[in-house]
Amino acid sequence: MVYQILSHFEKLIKFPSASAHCDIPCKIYDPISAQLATLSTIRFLDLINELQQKEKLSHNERAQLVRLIAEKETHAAKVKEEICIIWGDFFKQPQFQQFPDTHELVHSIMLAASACKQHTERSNGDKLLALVNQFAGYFWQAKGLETYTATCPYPPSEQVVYPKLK
Amino acid sequence: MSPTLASRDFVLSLRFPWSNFNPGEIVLVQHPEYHLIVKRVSFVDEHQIQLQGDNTASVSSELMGWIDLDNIVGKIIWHFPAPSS
Repeated sequence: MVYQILSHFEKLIKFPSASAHCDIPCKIYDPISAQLATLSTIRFLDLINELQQKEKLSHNERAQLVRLIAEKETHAAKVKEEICIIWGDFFKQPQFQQFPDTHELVHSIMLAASACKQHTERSNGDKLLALVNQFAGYFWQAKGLETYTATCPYPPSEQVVYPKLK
Repeated sequence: MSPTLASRDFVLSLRFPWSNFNPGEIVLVQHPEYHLIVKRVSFVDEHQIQLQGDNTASVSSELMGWIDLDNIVGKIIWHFPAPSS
């Protein structure tokens, strides 16, 4: 009863929220895991689309297609997981104040990753990478590091945001 | 702070100018790194305290470090558990 009354008041007057921090605080956060999973997703999209060019698939090619689709699903889901961990565990009120559109950006990443899971258009992967790179930029800036953009030295040879560590 | 406190629970904290803090009490703390947290007092010095969580996976006392008394928002005097879903 008291809890319900408090819940009602909480909707009207936002109470401060305290954390209990029961996660093991390894403090090792790096968006590169999400970026690599995004690149993998794009790579699988490319390989799937290469197979789609063929009129007829051999038995081996059909088996490969199934595997590519499964891996695309896995890596797109990994993007969501990695982003959620950083968003939920690393980002706190000061970072949200620094980057007020973080929640919207993370939600956009979730939608774009889902689109990669649902479809095979390359453009979905491109959109996902742009969003994940933007998130990586926020993350490194929040840690006080400058970033630069470079082409990753492996397929799918896309632009990736990296931290300047020197 | 599981199992003592769970997600979505409400707590009421109070601090008076004459408040003192003792080991075993649960306090609301404005931590310089972890921001607003709720933890149990494990050790009290003259001007500082150490904190610990009730859960074995909690951030350790060493990582939370010594907390200045000024950073204590208040002592938890009431706990309203969220109804189990």
